Amino acid sequence: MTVGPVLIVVAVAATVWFACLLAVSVRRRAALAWILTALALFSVSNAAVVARLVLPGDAPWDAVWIVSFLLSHAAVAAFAITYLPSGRSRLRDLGSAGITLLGVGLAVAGVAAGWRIADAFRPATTAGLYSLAAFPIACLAVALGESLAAMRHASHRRHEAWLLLLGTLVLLVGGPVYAVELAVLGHVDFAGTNLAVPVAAVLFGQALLAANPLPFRGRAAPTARIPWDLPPGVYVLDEVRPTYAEATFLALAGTQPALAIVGSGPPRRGLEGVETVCLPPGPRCASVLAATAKEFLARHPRGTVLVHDASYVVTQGGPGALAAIRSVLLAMPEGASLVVSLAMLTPSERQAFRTVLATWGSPPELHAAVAAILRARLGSADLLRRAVREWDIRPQDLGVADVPPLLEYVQNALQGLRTASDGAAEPGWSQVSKSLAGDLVEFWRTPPTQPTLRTLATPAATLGALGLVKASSISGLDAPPPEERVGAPMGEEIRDAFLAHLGPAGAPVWRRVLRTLQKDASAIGKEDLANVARLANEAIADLGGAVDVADAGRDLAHRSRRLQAQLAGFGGEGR
Amino acid sequence: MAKLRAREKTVRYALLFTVSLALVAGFWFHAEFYKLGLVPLLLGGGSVTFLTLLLLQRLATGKPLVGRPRRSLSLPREAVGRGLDGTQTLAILPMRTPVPAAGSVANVVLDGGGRPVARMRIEDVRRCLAEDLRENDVVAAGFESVDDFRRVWAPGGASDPLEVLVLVTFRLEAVS
Repeated sequence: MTVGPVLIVVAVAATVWFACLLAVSVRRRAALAWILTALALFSVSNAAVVARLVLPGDAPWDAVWIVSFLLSHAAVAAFAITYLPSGRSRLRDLGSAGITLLGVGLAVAGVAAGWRIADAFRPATTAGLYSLAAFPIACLAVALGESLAAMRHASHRRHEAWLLLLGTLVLLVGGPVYAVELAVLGHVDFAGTNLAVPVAAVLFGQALLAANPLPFRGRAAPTARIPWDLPPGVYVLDEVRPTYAEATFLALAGTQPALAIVGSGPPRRGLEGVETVCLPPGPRCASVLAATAKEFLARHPRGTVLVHDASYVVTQGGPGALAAIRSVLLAMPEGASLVVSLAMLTPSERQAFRTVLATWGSPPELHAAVAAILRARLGSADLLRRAVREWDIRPQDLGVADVPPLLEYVQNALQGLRTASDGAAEPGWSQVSKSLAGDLVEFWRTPPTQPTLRTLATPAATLGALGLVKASSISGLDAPPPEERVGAPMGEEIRDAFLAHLGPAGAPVWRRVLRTLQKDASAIGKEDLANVARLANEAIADLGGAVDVADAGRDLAHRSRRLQAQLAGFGGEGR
Repeated sequence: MAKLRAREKTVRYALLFTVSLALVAGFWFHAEFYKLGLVPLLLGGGSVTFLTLLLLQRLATGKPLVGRPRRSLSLPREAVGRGLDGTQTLAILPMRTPVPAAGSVANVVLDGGGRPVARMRIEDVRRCLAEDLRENDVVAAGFESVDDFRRVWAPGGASDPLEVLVLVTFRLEAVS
């Protein structure tokens, strides 16, 4: 045996070993299937060449070689199309199928015409032999084009695209280029082989492993008390914390598989029992996010994915984060859902996400909104503070599913006080309790994507209309536990009002007001209310000037009026 | 252990020898095929050999191909001291601070500029609301408690609980 067959056998063995390694490590099924097919077919074609060289007899090694040689290149093209998708998924599938069918057709024609291994990349005399050389080169050109397009358009996948480009170039040099050179140099043993396949396999494998999806099982999320009836789709929540994103995710998930993709922060209370995967830090973060979401939704077409912390992906991957989420949108099946929380993003980063075609929600902080309702109906939000203390959580950790237990807690507290009050106030108590329950239930039932038209009445007006004494003035209901101060400082209440009415924009507006007043929140008193209202108006007017969408401007004006009404309410409460 | 090191060395030298053989064979074949003269062969072959050796050296040492770190992380003097001692592994920074990407190696300089004092590997970068900071975060950042952090962070007590902070986890690589 000469050195040629030995070298080819070594290449085949290395290819098979690396293919096995990929088979157990890579979690992207479609791309893995294509690359394994390509490596297997390359190995078969190389092995057929060895068999033709060393085995005696008339076995149809040429036919085996033609089929595996042509289809291996088609599989490389299909792998690149599947792995680096650009454009519509249906067109990609059609492209892969078309190339494969063309390869099958050529293989059948080649077997029928009696093409031989020695014809590989040789000067051709017939159209058929031209196509035997042109088809593999065209397939590699498709892979090169896909890699170059991904390097240009998918900023989060440049590293993978670069590795794919190198791998394809290696196949091009090891195949057509060396076939010509070696034939001219008289090394005919290597005709029809590609000894660079193991090197290309390593490079393709590196690309696959660089953005390997995180492991998941596809479990359904536990049933949560979220009463929203939301259609499947893409939801983007512009909020301070991912409270509403978690609730939207649970509402969409139902009994279908659901996966929460989180950053490296501590686990959130709202995701207890949910299958969760943690993104890796570093530049791989955005591509791993995209790969995991796409693979999950490909395996569970009615599933739901939550991108819990887009700020983590932005911090790791910069602008690649948006490209990653866009690529998930392109690959999403019809009945699947994706929920993205924009918590902790800067205004310019949020603005960049505005281009995402999705259902948007910009809800106020949940605890601030609940506190505002309690304040409007009872004159104080102390019952909320007492409830969260009993549950051993912070108000900020309150979730949508906690609203019914909170209502129950408040109603029990009110019930306890009814027995202590005099008979004359009895009808009033039930009215207050009913209105409060109505407000909280309506709030609980309203999804964050639907603007609430609830008017937050001032406590004085509500209770005055009922002919009742203010609930907070009755000892017992509002009496704080001994270690707690009486009521929240006015600054805190005003901050809550800003967040409740203006959503995430409330925080910077409140900060600007404090900066202009040159005061700490704790030092804000009733005498500052007029200045706070004026400065808030100015800040909101500036904010409105930057909004060039008519509907958004109207919404802002509406929110501003509600905020002013509540600020006026604070002034009239005789604090 | 010594056996393992010897085996590792043997594998490395065998690989290096194989690469050298492949390079020489490649030059010989291509010089024959393209009828290259001495000067083109020296220039082309020299460049390929140089790049291959550079790549192998970087692969062996695990250093990034881009060379020395270009980004720097500016920290207060006390934080740098604790970082060098290994008692601080996390820095809490305001959003406006430029932070090197996670996974990179950064030069650490003292606040206010100056020469790099150390090189740190940035292991993770994440954001956190000021009021969501946990006890273990502030302890890793060299504070005694969350209250201690708040006292240092906003001496007048006028901090914004919804301020977004950047938490950088790092590991000492080398002292400059």
